[in-house]
Amino acid sequence: MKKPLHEQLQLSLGEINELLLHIIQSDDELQRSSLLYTSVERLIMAGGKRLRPIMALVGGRFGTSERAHLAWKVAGLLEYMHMASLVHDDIIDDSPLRRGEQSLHAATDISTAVHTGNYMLARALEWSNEDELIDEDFYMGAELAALITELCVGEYDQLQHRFDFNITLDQYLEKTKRKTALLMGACMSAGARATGADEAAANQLYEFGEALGIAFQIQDDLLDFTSSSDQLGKPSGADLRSGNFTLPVIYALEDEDLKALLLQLHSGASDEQFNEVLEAILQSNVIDRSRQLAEQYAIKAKSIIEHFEGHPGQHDLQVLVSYFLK
Amino acid sequence: MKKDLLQDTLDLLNELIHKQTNIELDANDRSLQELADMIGSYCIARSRKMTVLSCCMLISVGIRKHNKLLTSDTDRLARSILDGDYLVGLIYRVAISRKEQKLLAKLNPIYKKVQLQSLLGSDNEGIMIELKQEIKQYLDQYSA
Repeated sequence: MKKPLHEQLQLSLGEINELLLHIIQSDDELQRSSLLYTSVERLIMAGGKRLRPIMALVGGRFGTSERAHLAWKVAGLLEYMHMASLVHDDIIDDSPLRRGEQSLHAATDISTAVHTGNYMLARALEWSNEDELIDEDFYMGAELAALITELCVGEYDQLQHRFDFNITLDQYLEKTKRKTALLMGACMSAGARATGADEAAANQLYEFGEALGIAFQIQDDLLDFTSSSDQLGKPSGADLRSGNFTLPVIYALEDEDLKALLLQLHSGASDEQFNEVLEAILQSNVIDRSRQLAEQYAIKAKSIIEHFEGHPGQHDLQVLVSYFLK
Repeated sequence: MKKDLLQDTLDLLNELIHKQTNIELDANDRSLQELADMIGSYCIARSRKMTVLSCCMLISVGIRKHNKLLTSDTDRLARSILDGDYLVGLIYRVAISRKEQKLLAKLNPIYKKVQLQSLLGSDNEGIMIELKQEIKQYLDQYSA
């Protein structure tokens, strides 16, 4: 059996989680008995694949080892940005569950969850600047924080296209870039820049991370169709039921029979109607077609690896591609 | 002239804000006018005044969007959360693109403090006063 991703890359999830905990534990303004502390701690302990910090740390291997600690700063900041965005996304999507546990707003309340997400961003930026020169590192953190506008535009896009049967493949890919791929690209390039990698390498690593990000999101969207609620830790088919049309639906709309079924859906459609469409999509070829497109993006990432021929970090990029191609 | 600084800054921001967000800022805020008056009194380039005022406006409106959440209307709730997130993200984008990064080291602690206060249930009434003080300090230090 294949080792988990972090082990293949000689990284410890325990160390990453310790870093994430350290960010709140080192905040002098935060009491450990507070709801805020326990909420953030709970989010961290809920776990996750930690793909973003892993990517930042791999990106950091393309710079110098003397600056390796700065890749850890990027890793912590980006994971906090990601976790904060998930807290807000769960409210926007009205998702009561996250990884099989109550989402934060369901466990507390909406206002608490919104401000907790905001605190996480502010604290991570503050932490990323502690003990460092403001002229260098805070700016890098600020540049990453500026990406939030793009993540938001991806979300606005999703909201505006709910139950939009005219959504195109290009629109889906644009939204996917903004919501997911851009941040993954930034993980690779920011890790590299923080450790002093040259600009050309950082740009290539951005392209690599972005391509993997699209492949990852397509596969994640597929899980909504192919996995059970138990496997997902949240209700299956949730995207379709909320009118968030992902790649399988876009392909299904090209088929006259599936399109006729899909056109019956609306926000008030019955569970039976949604289940009928989910079943029809599963029986069709659109799942395979979607997988093929994800593979094309993973192959694109693979082609970028060639630029790092002979570099010791090249193997780590191959490991990442293999993981995303699984 | 001072009124123009506020209006010009609003125009700049409304142009920078992505059309898809449908966010439109307005100038009907007395505390922002006071900030504009203070920033306008410094002897710095007008483009810098606009950048500093832009960031103040964004943080002020961004905070307000998250403090007035209408939880009974899911669409409006989603919009308010996104609007607040977007406007705060834009602070970083504006400050970086207009070379005013040091200002962020003043704004980030204020933003964090607001979250801590909000989580304790207190309102953020004094925050505009604090923002004004921080901006004054910043301009005193970096306006030479």
